[in-house]
Amino acid sequence: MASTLHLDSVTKDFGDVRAVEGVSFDVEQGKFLTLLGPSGCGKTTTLRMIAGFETPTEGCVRLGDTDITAQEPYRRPTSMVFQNYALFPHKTVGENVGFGLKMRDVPRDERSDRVAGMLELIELPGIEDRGIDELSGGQQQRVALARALITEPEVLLLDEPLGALDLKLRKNMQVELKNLQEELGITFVYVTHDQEEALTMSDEIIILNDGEIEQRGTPTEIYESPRTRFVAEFIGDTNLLDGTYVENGSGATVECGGVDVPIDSFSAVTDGQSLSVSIRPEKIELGGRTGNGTTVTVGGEVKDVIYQGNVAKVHVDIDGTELVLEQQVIDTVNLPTPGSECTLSWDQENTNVLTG
Amino acid sequence: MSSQDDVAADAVRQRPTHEKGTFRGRLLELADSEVFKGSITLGPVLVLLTVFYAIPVVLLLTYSVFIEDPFSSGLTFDHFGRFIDMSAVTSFQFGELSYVRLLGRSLGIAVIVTVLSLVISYPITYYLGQYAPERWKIVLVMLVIIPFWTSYLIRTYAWIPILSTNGFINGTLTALGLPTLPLLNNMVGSIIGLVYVFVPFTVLPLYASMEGLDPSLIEASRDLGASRWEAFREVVFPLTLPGALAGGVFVFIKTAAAYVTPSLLGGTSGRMYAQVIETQFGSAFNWNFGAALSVILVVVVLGTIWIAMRWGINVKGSRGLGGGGL
Amino acid sequence: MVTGMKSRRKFIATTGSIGALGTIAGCLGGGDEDVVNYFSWGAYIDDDWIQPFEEDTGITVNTETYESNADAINQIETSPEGTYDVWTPSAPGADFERAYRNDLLDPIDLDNVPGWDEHIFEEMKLDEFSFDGEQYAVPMTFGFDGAIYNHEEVGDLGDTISYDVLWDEEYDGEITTRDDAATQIWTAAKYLGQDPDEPEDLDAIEDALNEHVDLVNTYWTSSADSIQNFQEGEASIGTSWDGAYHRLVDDDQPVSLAFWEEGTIGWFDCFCIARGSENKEAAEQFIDYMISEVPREWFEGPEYIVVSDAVEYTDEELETYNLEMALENTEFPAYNDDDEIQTYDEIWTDVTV
Repeated sequence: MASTLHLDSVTKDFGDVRAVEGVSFDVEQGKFLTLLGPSGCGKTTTLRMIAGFETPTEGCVRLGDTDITAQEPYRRPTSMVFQNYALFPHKTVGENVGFGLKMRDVPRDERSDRVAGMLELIELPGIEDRGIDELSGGQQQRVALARALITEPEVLLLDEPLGALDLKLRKNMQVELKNLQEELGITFVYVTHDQEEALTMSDEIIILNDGEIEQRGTPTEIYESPRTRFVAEFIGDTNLLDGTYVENGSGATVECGGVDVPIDSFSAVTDGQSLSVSIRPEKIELGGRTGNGTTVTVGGEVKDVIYQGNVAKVHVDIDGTELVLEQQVIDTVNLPTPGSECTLSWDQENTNVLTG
Repeated sequence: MSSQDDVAADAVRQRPTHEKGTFRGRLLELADSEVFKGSITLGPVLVLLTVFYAIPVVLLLTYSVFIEDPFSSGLTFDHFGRFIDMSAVTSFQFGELSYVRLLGRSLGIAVIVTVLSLVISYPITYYLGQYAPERWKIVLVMLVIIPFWTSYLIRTYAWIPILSTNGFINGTLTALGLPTLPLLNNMVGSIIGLVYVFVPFTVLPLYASMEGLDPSLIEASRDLGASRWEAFREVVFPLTLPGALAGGVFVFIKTAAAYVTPSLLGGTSGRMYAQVIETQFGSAFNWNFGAALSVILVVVVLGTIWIAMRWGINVKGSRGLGGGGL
Repeated sequence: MVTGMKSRRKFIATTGSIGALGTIAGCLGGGDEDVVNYFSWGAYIDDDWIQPFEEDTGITVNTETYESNADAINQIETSPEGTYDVWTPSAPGADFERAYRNDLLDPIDLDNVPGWDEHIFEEMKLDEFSFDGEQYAVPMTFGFDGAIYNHEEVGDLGDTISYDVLWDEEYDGEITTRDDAATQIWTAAKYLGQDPDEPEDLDAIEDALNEHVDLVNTYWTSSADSIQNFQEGEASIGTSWDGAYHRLVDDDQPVSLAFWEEGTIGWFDCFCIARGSENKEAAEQFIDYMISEVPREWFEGPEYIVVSDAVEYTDEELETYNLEMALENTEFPAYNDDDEIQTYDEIWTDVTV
């Protein structure tokens, strides 16, 4: 049964504090949606309202045609994977994974079969009788996942489930989680503050800031075309330039100190108004550029070169305005030397005008 | 790991050597010995334990095995024999075993009071530990503790005008045209008084357990389909069992030997074992039998707790009550 | 028995109370100063009585209270000699005789207590207060285990009642009597027409007490207990001390006092000197003061009959506290030895469990 998860203008107040304000979105069955934002942005509260641990102050949560806003958590076809896993320390792995089935009065034999199958799925077969404290962090993570999945929820809610793992394990788990999600075809709503995790796994990302949605889009849209200053800054590194919007015939320019950044004319602002743009460092090249589209070229002086292995960050001063570009390091000999004159260029398409 | 390292380091570390044989050498050696160090740190505790616990217990034991006056009369087990009248046992006249019946009643009341105290403490501490706003917690815990500032005796006396035939509860019932309830001078009175006095002793350790209970465990169980009751049974109860046992054992010990409360509120049918012990030391002038009765109480109560603890460990070993396994 | 008790005292004194010794020495030692260590019921200790004595004589009076005669006996037995000087057991018979037999008393020299001749009622100077020609007790108050009933609940039963009411189904759940094995056996023996001091059929007594216990609401152990039972409506008839009755009347409770037809237990609380007293003369001076100077206040306090003419009873009081009738109607239970006490205690335990 394909059920879309809907949130309609969901607001949540804790006393005088508004944690979530008018959040609305839909998630189609089988999609991987990530709620991304810094801590305190309301992403976990939103997740907990979907799970039923919090009741919205306003708005409603629906699954398909059913309004589940006020439904008790244990009646919802959702399952949650907690940040600290919340595995029952007094129960074995088998009892933990089988807990949801026991609560649904599934007979013992069927339960143990399904637990075995689930442990198989998470590639930890035969550990039913182990204690939780005998598992590594990664294993606990998988067991928590198995416990949430065994009840065959329509929506799986994950609250920073990889936060406690080390980097390497986290990368592996990201891939595995994504594969698992595709295999099972369950809707995942995933909460994280880690942009890389979000970009790696999600079908769609919602960026939350201060309880409100900043931008929603695919990972590419979010990364390539941030629409607000917050999104541009939050996702990846970027060159943020604040300037003044100046119309000039066919096009327009944002005059940012030493750099004039040409953009397509923009009806939302009037001449002389202040406007910000962002350009990703890896979109900027050293030297002239031969490509289709409109190329922007500026000249400046190399201030600093920071070698980072596969890439190097080159800081360039253009009449008092600094731009950072990222260059693939193919040969260290070809890196520019600080103090030297240089030319920078980028495709005008890669200039993002920020509206918020 | 680190403790192993310590052991290894200890093995390697050079022990200071002293000139053997000389007095000074032996003294230094003694000062360096583990026994000496141990007795210095343990010493004050041992003295305290001896004075306040060991001596009274030894005195009781001594009195219980002499016919009359310790060391100037013969040894006997008659005082223990008087507790269980063998002729009544062999003739199946179990009703004649007054002291056994009385002890049984006291233990029964102790169990009831312990269970009621826990039943009352669970919701209170669950709220305190899981829901109460942080800044209110200390105030609420203080409210539980404040009654301790008043004497046990006064708090118990206070129940008399509440429970008596002319008292507050029955007065209210009469005013409402309802029949009065016999609440004072019976077992009900004893139990109410004891529960009131001992609830704080289960609240405090349970509160400590509840505070340490990760709320996401309860949410996880609820999320996985557990009703509130099932979440309690499967998660809250087993994980707070240590606190419940700590408080419960304490209350059980104290209630099994309760004297003041049943004397004031229990009347005849609420009479408890300690009252008979008191009579032996008081108006019956039979310290030896009183001592034997006390020794029996201590042994039976400790035995009961030992069994309960074994049960508690089994519960933990089986990883969860309510059926274990899958 | 007597020697046995001595050794118990020694055993306890040398083991349990080593620490207590220090404390007592610290509190009561007092060097060369004249002191009297007065050990009594709380109701018999009042600073207003003691202070003038201390001021007039320069003798310091240290006080300590006890809750029952048995408590007092146990405590004196287990404390070092000389801890207490004056105490107030109930006499004659029972506890007083136990105290004498256990060697807890020193004789009183009546030459040092002129109040004995001047104030104590002649009819109260019982022979039982002396042993082997030596005086051991000076009576102060007289009381009895009378019948008290709530006349609003049970009606006017007159001033002489039969013990039958304590076995009367009509009063089921409204009866209160004293929680004391010896008293209960004595009462049941009277009810059954047996000799209360040497009952011949203990089985019958146990049966009777088993019937009685079913009708009892609660037993009382102290005067305050029994007062409360009537105040709180728990009991409407039973035994109590006459002092409790007078205090209930002061509290406007609708109660009446009566004597028991078959015989009422009476008692005197007497001044005695504790064995080994090191302040005997000061103690005698204190006793004389108490029977000569304080009786009026004493009578108005605990509300027992004070057997000293220093009270200066009014005619009205003499009528209310009918001393002659009280003496006529009361009996003093005999001393029970340890075996009897054990037997009585077992019966009483069987009955109450």
